[in-house]
Formats: sequence, structure tokens, C-alpha cells
Amino acid sequence: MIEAAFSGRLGSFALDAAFRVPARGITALFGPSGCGKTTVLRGIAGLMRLPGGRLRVNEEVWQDGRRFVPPHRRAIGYVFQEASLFPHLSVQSNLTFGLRRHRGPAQIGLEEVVDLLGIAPLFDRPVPLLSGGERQRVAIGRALLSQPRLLLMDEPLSALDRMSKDEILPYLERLHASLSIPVIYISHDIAEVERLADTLVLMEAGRVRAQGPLAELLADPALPLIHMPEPAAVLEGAVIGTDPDYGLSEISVPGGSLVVPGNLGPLGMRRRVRVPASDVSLGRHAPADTTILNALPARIEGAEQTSDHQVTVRLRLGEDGHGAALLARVSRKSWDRLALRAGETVVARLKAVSLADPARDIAPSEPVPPP
Amino acid sequence: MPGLALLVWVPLVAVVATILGALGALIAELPPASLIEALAAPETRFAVGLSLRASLTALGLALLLGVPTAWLIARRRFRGKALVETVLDLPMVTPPLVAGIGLMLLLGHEAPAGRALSGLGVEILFSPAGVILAQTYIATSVIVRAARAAFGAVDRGYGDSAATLGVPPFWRFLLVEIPIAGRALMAAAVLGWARALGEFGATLMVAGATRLHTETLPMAVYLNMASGRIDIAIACALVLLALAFALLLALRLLSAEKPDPLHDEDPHARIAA
Repeated sequence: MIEAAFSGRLGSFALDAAFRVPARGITALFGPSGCGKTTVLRGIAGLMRLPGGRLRVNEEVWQDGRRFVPPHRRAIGYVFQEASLFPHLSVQSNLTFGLRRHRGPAQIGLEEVVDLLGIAPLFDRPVPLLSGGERQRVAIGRALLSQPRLLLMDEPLSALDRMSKDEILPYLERLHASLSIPVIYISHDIAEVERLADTLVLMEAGRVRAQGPLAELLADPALPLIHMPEPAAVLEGAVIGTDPDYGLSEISVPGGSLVVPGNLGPLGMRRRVRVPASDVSLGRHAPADTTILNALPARIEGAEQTSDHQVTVRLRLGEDGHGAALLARVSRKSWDRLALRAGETVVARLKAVSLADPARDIAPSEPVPPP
Repeated sequence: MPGLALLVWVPLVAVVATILGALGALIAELPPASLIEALAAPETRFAVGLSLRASLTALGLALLLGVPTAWLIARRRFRGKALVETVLDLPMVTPPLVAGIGLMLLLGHEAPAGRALSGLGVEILFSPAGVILAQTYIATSVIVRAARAAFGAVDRGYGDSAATLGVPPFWRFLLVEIPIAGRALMAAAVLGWARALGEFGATLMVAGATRLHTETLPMAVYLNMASGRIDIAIACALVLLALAFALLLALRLLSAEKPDPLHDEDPHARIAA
């Protein structure tokens, strides 16, 4: 468990944020710019001493009352928005900067990190000649090699252009899949969060608005996420079958199973799919003679009118309505015509199901080719 | 636009011509043989030796005092900082002669500080130690100001990164901030050294102008102009000019733009790589 609580005034900004998240997987701190995400992360790192702060990571208390462990004694890795590689050192010296200061056996080896992030070709390049994406990869590697028990990432992609982002995201996903270090990841980009996060801490004006598993919060009617222009549900499950003939795979998710294009890896591998609400339509009966591959029974939990002409419907997969959360954005006209109500069972037809993590089917030992 | 051309080129020519004229007049004053003789004179050699020894010692002291001070001013906030900064800049803008009088009175036997030092057997006034003190006093002020800008230009992110990589504060200063500020700090040192070499007013007050005792190069110029040994005065002046020229060159090389490590990449360097 990671338990953090920070409060205090910073100039005119009042911070009062507390959350408790599992010490595994990726936790996204999500919220608009200026809501205090970075302040919280710097507080966790100890780069900022917030007076009314408490912080416990597993069994270690890093801050409580007068107790304050300085940043260099915290087993953290920190990846900044702008990769702050040391310009006076080579790529290699940058990478091993923290490793050399680590006492005790190293759990994460240089070779492993170099493979994972595809850094080997960069070794001989001077730091000033690396591209933004390359710098950020080296910075992530440097943070990992300092043997952190908690990895903090402050919008590591925000300073990058679209292409560099797409270059880095697969590496982050591989990191997620192959390392067991918990990550706290700041983002104000919901697409990144949908791809990477397991747990979501939603921040707003210095406070924590909500916290919990990503899939639950995405579909929570009380939260603003559902009212975003393109809401989506994220479903995760294991691969239970592949059909090489048609190039399809089947993934079991709570309350049903989905057919997804592509060979998604060995049976049992966990994958994440994203289903945009606008790609889900509803019907009272299973469709006959349709090109849609995924039509699943689901129970309506509720519906919100998102605009004058649109309704966002919250569903749970399965006849009993205990499965994964799903969102459907339908026209108000169809909603009224079908006279659907909460508690009713419908058939949800999924026009598009795409992998949220398209690059994870690359074997972790191969470097990902640049886009 | 002849009007504008006239307005900007005429002053340039006038300024450059004056500088070169003064320089040429100095060089042309002595026939080469006499110049070589004056350069080899014991008094000139003494002045060169003392100036180099004293100014390098002063530079070392000024760096030891000035660099940490500059870092503190650039990085930390504390009560009364604005006042402290103003005080630190004071020696740079007060006439050195005035600074020198202050130092002389502070260290004189009438003052507590002077009495305490002489009680310990340390005599600074009117000795070569006084030369070092006066030069350090002036150079420190220059170095603090230049080094403060040097540290200010180093992104705090580097220190933060080093902290999260397990480096304690003192080593962050030594391993990260000083090397990254390296070139700018060297430039600060060059400026400080130049000021120490040319220091006259404060030295005159604190160390006095005693031939072959506290006779630095500027002091030698002054003493010999006053006593009519123009050849020695000119030899010493030319040595000072040569040193100043070398330092200017060093400064220029140090501030030659390398591609900014954080932002713009030099496209030519990239193609070459």
C-alpha cells in the first residue's frame, strides 16, 4: 500500500490531497493542469517538504510529523517532464549514475534495462544530440537502474511530439508488463491513462476527487470522465483462444468474452481493450445477420443525458449485470424509442474493439523498431 | 541610408582608433632594445612575480569564498537575502580606493579586528599579504556576481534528478551543478583574475606602494612613472596588456556557444554525427 496525504498552502494554492493505492501496477494521478499533481509527486519524492504531510510506502514511513526522509535516501526513481539527463556525462554514465550509488545487490540489471528500452544504439551519442524521445528513454532507464522501490513519472510524454509519444508508450507498457515496481504516473491525457493505468486518482483543484480501479472510475456517473467528448470503457482479461485462420483472438472479460482482431499472444496472457462509448449500440434482442462480431448481454445500470440529443448509458456485462463496466453513447431518440430503463437486460453490440496496448504483443526481449 | 551609416560607423572608428592609438603609443615609446632591457630589469621581474603569485592566490581564495556564496544566493531563499546581495555587490561598484581605505581602517591597530590579528602575530597591512587581501576583496565580488548568474542558468531539475538518484546535497553541488555550470564558472574565474591582476586602488591603501616589497605590476607602473623610470613603467604596462589580452581570448573561447544541451541542437553537428 502507498498511503499519501499532503495538505498546506503554497501561495494562493490550497492543497489537501490524500489517497491510498496498491503498491503495484500503474497508478495514474489524473487531472487538469494546475490541480496539484506535480506538487503531490514532488512531495512523494521528498523534493518538496509539504508541512502537513504523511507518506507511507509499504512498511516505510517517509514523512510523518517531524520525520522526513530526504529524497536521496528514498528508494525512488523519478522521471521528469523534461528529461534532465546530465549534459556533461555520456549516455552510459547517465544510465549508471544512480546504479553506481546503490548499495546492496541490484535487482534491475543494466542489460535488462538496455534491452527493455532499446537504448544500446544510443550509447555512443552525446546527450545533446539525442532526440526528445531518446532522452526520455535514457531518463527512464537511469531511474530504473537506481533500483527504486517506487517509480514516479511526471508527465514523461508531455514534452514530446506525437511521434515520440508513440515511440515511448510501448516501452512503458513493457515496463508495466515485465517489472514489478509500482509506478505513480502523472498525466492530463486520458488516452495515456486508458492505455497504462490500473488505478486512477482523480484530482481537482488541489483535492482528490475520486480514487479506485481505472475501469470503475471511467464509468462512474458522478465523475466528469463520463462526460468527456469521447468516453470509453477499458476492459481487461486473459486470452482464451485464437483463430489464426481469421486472424482473431478471444479475450475473456468479467461477464463475457470479446473477439478482437489480431493474434494476441499465448493463452492466458492478459490484454487490455478499449471500447469507445460511441462504438456501442444497444438492442433488445441479439442481432441476426450482422457483421458485428461482438454482441453481448448486459444490464443497464443507468443513463446520463450528455447533450440535448445524446444519452450515455452505463452497462454491466452479463445477464446478471455483475460483469465489467461498459459505456454506450446513443441518440436520445433511440433511447426513447426503445423505452430502455435501468435494470433491464439488453444486448450491447460493439462495433469496434481495439487493443488499448497494441504493442505489448512484441516479445519483451526484442527492441521495438522505431515508428 | 548614409545618415544612419554615419551615425554608427563614425563612433566605432573613433573608439577603435583611440584604443589602438594608445596601444601603439605605448609600444612605440621605447626602442625594442630598451624594451627588452626594461622587461629583464630586476624590478620588472619582481613585479611580474608578485603580481602572478598574489593574483593567483587571490583568485583561489575568491573562488573558495565566492562560488559557495554564489550558489547559496542562486539557490536558496532566506531572510534579508536582497540586503545581503546588495552588500555583496558593493565592493564592485565602490571605487577601489574607498574600499581600500575601509579595509585599512578595519585592519589598523586602532580597530578591534586589526588588534586581534596582530595579537595573533598576523600583520596584513603594508605587506604582500595586504596585496592578496585587497585583490581577493575585489575579485570575490566579481566572482560572486558572475557565478551567481552561472548557477542561475543551471536548471534546478539537474539537482533534483541527482537527489532522486541517491546523491546527497554536497555531492550534488560538486558532481552535478559545478560541472554543468563549468564553462560559465571558468569565465567568472577569468574575470575575477583579470580584476585581481589590475587591482590598484585598494592595494595602494592596504599594502602601500613599497618598491620591491608590495610592488605589483600596476604599482610598478605608478611608482616608475612618478620617479621617471619610464622604460620600466612601460615594460610593466605592456606585460599587463599582454596578460589582459590573453585573458580576453580565454574568455572568448569559454563563452563560444556550444549547442545548448537542453534545447536547440546544432543542425551541422547533427549531420556530422
